Amino acid sequence: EVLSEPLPWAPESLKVSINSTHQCLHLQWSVHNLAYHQELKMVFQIEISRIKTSNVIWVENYSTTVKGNQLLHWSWESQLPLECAKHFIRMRSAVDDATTPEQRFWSNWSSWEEVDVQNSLGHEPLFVFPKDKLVEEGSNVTICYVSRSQQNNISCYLEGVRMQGQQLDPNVSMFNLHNVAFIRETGTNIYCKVDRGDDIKGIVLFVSKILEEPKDFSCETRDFQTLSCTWDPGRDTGLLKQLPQSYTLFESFSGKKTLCKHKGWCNWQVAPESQEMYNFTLTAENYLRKRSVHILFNLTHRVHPMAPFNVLFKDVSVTNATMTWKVHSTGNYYTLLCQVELYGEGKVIQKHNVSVKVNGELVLSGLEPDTEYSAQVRCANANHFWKWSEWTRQNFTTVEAAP
Amino acid sequence: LVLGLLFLSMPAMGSCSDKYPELLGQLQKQADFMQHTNTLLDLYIRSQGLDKNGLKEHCRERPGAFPSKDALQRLSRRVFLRTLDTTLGQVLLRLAALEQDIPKAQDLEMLSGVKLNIRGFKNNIHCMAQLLPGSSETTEPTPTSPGASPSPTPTLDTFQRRLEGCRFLHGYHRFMRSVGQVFREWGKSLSRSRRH
Repeated sequence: EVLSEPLPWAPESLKVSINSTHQCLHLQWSVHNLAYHQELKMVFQIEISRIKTSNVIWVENYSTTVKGNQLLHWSWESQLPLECAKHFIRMRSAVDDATTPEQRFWSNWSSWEEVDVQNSLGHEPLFVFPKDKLVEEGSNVTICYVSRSQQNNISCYLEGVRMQGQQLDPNVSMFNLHNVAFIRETGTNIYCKVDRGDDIKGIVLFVSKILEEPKDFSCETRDFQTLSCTWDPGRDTGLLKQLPQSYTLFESFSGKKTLCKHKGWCNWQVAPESQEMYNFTLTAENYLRKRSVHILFNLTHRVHPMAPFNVLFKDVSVTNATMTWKVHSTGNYYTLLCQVELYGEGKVIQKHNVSVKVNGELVLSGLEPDTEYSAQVRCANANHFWKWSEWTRQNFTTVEAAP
Repeated sequence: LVLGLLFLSMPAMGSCSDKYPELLGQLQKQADFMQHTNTLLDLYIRSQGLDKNGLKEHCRERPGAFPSKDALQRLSRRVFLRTLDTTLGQVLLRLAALEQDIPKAQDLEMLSGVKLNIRGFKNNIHCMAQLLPGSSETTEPTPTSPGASPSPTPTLDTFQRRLEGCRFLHGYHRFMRSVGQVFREWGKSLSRSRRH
């Protein structure tokens, strides 16, 4: 049996404020008689009642270290919109001595603090809450109506389907919605009507699809100056107006972060000669959820070369031709492996692999005289293959054989 | 069809027709087209999910939001055109406000078509006003009809704003029906005056 002797460190100056939109109660209090320099591990027991003080719906022990005359804070989110019923809060405290938890000496309870949002509502005959709530599909939501007159017979509907409620008091009924579904971009209409009369009041419940984790997150460079990151954002949440979404790239080695302008891709500037290893976190975020994916890679293993250029043919003879091409310089990072395909009459007739640092050269032999050929070349990183560049193609014609 | 109607409005190309019967015919056609709820209200009801039993019936014009047919019939032709011009100006403002709550691109496209039509209609009203005897002064705006405020008070929550938007559009289509009827009466008096 817990002895409750008045303690010198009882909670004092308890103030309660509310945030209706978030359905939150915020408590602020302090502990007097603590010397300025003193620190004390304390536990505060908080009770919340609804409609009447005897109807306790929540008890929580909040442990914290209290310093001098510090202000303490605690918040509580109500499943029921705060406008739907009066709430009452009280608190007591005890020294949180871990060695003898059972011998806790609780202070006296503070007096009940009342929170009555209904008295600040207007004079309309009927109200429905919560207004314009934003939730993810699958959530549970509690709705209520508050009627000014007990004589009103009120019926409530979710998208035209009658809902069964639970009376909280003669003027208030609540409705628990389970596993709410996404219906449309403009939200779900929930409304209540006074059976005799023309009064209708309602709310829109904005139900969003769940923000998906980005898939196939990948980055590559074409020029060692820019990293192009791409990903599949997945389906959109269906509420882009009410629930804007952002994508952020964070690189942990450099500590740099960038807010991406597009849903499915983002560019990252590569500081010259700065780093080879990259550890990226891509974060998709909206008001209701945050999703992150990570990749760690070596820049030189993610090279997607630009297409070769200046494909020329020299020393073209009756049966031979020397093909040359240039590749975009990427510093001395690596060697390129280039693939050449020779086409005759629309069919591949020769294939070659050539290692290239700056310029490519290949002698094509065994050709037919006075014949038109087409040759194409593409390149990739020779040491760590990632992707082929695009093909570059050029035609040439061998010389006529001497008569 | 929408664009076809638009090209009926000569002023869109910067010149007014001076042929009264032709202009009156255009105004009647446009008013008849704009009274149909499938040009706007039905889209809004569907987009906002108001097409439910127990809800649809609450989407009725608020008395006083638009001038009644009787009120329109009692006006002189000049004041009638001025009232029409002013009221449609209010409608354009309200449509701009409603646009915020319409997410789908194709619905927004339809809404812009409606706004285009209303502008074309207003231009024709301007031309008709010039053809009325003693028409030196231009169409100045008259006090707006009560209730047709540009946009509902911003404090309304989404559901209330949605219902008010629906009631407003219901009134707009009824108003255009009444306007069409007044123009038809103009047409009858025109044909009577030709017979004598």
